[in-house]
Amino acid sequence: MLELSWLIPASPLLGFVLLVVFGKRLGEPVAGWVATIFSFISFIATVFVFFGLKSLPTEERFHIEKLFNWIDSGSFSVDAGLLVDPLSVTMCLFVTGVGTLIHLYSIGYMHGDANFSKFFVYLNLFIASMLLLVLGDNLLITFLGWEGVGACSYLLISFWFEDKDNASAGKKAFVTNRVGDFGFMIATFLVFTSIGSINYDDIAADASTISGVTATAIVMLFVLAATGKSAQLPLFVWLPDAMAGPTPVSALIHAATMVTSGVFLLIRLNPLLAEADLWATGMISWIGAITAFVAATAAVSQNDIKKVLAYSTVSQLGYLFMAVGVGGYVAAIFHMITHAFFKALLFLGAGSVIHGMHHEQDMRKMGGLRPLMPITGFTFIIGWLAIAGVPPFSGFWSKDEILLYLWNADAVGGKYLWVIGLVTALLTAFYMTRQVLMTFFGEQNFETTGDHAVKPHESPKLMTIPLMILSGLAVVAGLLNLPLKNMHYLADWIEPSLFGNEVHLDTPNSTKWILALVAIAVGLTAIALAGSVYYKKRFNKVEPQFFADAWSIDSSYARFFGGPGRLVFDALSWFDRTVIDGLVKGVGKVSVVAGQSLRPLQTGYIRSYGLSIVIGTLAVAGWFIWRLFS
Amino acid sequence: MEVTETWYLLLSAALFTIGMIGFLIRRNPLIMFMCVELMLNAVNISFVAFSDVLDDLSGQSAVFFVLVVAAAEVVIGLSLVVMLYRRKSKVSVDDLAELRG
Amino acid sequence: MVDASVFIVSALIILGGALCVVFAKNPVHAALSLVASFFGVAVLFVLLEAHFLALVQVVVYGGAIVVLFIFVIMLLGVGGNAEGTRRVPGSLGDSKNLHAGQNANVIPHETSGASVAAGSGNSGNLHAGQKLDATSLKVEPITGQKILGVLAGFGFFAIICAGLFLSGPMGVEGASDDAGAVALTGTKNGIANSGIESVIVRTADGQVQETREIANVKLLARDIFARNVLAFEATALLLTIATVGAVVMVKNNDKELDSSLGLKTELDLAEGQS
Repeated sequence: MLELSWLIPASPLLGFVLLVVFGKRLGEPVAGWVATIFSFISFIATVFVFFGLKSLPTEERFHIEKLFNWIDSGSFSVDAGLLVDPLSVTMCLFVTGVGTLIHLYSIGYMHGDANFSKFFVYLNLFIASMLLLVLGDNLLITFLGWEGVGACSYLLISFWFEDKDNASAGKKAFVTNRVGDFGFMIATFLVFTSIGSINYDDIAADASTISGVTATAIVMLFVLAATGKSAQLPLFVWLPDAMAGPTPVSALIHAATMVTSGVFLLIRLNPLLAEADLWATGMISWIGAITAFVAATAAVSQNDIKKVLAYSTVSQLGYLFMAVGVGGYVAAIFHMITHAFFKALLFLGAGSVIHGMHHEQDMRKMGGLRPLMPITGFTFIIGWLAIAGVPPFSGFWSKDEILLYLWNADAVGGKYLWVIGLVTALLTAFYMTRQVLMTFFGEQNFETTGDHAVKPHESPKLMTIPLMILSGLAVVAGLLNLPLKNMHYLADWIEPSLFGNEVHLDTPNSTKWILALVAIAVGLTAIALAGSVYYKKRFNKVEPQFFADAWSIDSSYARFFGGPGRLVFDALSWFDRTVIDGLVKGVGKVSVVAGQSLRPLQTGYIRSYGLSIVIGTLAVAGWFIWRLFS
Repeated sequence: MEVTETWYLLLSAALFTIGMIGFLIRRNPLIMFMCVELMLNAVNISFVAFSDVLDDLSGQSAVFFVLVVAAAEVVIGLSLVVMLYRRKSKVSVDDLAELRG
Repeated sequence: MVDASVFIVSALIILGGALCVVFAKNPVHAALSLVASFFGVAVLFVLLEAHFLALVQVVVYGGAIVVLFIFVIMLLGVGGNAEGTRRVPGSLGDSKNLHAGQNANVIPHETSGASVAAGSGNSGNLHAGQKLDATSLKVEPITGQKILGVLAGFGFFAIICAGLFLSGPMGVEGASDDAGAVALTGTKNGIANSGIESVIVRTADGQVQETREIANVKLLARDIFARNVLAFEATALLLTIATVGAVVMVKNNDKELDSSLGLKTELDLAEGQS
């Protein structure tokens, strides 16, 4: 079964190639179905590989499928291989699963778009790159996938690039990711110089030989890369702007898959994280915490239905970072999975609303949509309950795991982290409730008659079926890792990938229950509060602009780099032009000058050539005579 | 006084030198050709001298071939000179500097 | 003794002829001194027992090559009676047939010193009326060529002398087999000598009956046609190619050029007659 693992990235790649060549000819909707089928094949292959891996005993579940020898240069040798282990298979499962559902959804959503087939070309390429990222057995293949998803993200965000704002949103995403990629590359170089190899199994084996300082440096650089991809402080500014892309893109890339790749990278490199200094891993958690809080405050004040979800994604990714930083890898993966389900569900639901409202995205112009769009409303509500942390939906279980780890991480100020996590959970419930109320309940804030009449309607089956499937998953995903005895399926499954770096908690059951109850209480309070503000209109709403601008972080970047930051750019550009280009041109100039200075030798006169011959003969003969007789 | 091979070689060297200096100094192509012939003769003398001293006839056959090749060279060279003189009636080799770079 | 004096005389002839070639103003004089030099070389060849080569030297060099030189000199009017003449061969002093585009390097017979100085670069003092042409020895367009040339020549001679005198004695190769074998090399008076081979004819009981000498030509022929036959054929091919090439090169179909050289073409003949 495991031999099929090459099919997992190969299938969407094949779909990509086919659609590039034939996409336009196939047209709508065949191109969409082709892409969906290739993605589905990948999902089936993943399921087979999953069962194949499950059939192996636990010790052997770290399996490398070597495809071919890619680079072999001196001491640096890299194989193109796939690492099939529980972590990568888990990621592949939800990437291909959610990906296929979103492909299906897009056939309905992108109906009538002029560039229908191009969209699916990009989608398939994205899935292929993401699978490469996840399945690669060394840092270079992961980087290949990393860059691939970054490029696809750019292509897909600026899909409707005729509008300049969309194009610059794509650019912003790409450039911000590049900053992270710089960290990735330097960290890879450091890994190579430390242990001579960039394969994950070598890293796992040799991690203990790396000095603490180097390991800390490597980890911090990888964290930089992860903050770029997973939209954390300070590189989160691209994610809200990325909502300019079509909603399926937001669902797939910016909720379920690409943004989790940063967290995935950190989990994959857990041996290195174990070697780094404690303050470094603690910093990961604090970065996550601050980001989660800031993003949650921002989400409270947004009026665009997608921007709320965007900031919500940033906030939830902050939770993942918090978990990774304190060693709760299983909790992070658990929350990653549940978040993939309910966030994709929420985004697709938002897309359905937008589709039904004829591309209206401002929530203030919605309201009372639930009777008009029943399926969308119902599934959206399930997603809402999941993300708000209401049991028994999946979000509660995963978020609770993370909060538990935070509570126990006293070495890095865990209690404070727990408080921040709790406050963020409150805000999460608050703004999600706000969103649901503003969109689906209350009075209708749009015109139903007259010239600008809007007639919201339910979306076609192609769009609602994925919603229903995802809502089902959002309900039951909690069963993956219940805190009850013998139900830690996920923890047991993932363990071979973690090399024992997982922090095991010994909290007494009573503490667990109390913490859980506190979280539930906080969540319900927030829901009630939001209801009283937005439904019952008992209090005035408080939506400060400062929060809405995400504490002006983005605009201060713009002001800095447009202003004083320019000097740095100009200096670097000067350096590049004068020194580096000068060196290169200088080489050319040297040869030109040398040629010119030798030119007078070519006099054209036969006699001077004869003279040169004679002088040369003299020199050679003289040298021989000298050598022989002295 | 015995005529050893050294005498011949000295003579050959002197003749060659004279021919060489003449080649470098004169500008008339015909005179330059004659100087080339002088140089070839010098080499012939040394070949035959060695052939005599070493009791080996290959020296003389070498001279034979040198003679033939010199003749061929003169033929070609003189035809070139004739063609040159067609363009201008007084030619010094310094005028043929078109390959100057 | 005889050898030495013959050597010295022929050496003088050779070197004298060479010097005259180098310093002669008139190309015809140079050609004639060249002949003298060749004769000296032929004498030297005879002294070295290379009889055939001496003959060939005289015939080929003196009889063919120098004759070719003289032909060309006469044909092109290089030199003639005086230097600096704009002598167009075939029509003495007739400027009518001169081609319009003729090179301004030509300096007319009657020029004064001023235009002469303008026409060619000069590195020496020129008197008015002094005849200069592009090939004279007095004017040297390339700086330093003469000095460097002479120096290089002397240096070359010095190097060869150094090689000659600093090296050890030369070994004598080749041995003769006395037991009736015919070797390509023989001895004469104990000194190795080439060119003469002795066939020692013995009687049945090993007594020396007579010694016959084999001529140099025969030996050389054996060497050339047997051992070096490939080189011989190649050289023959080379000669053929050279001859054909020369004919092809010099042949021209340009009537104007022909008439500029004074060679009468059919056109001129027709013109002259009508």
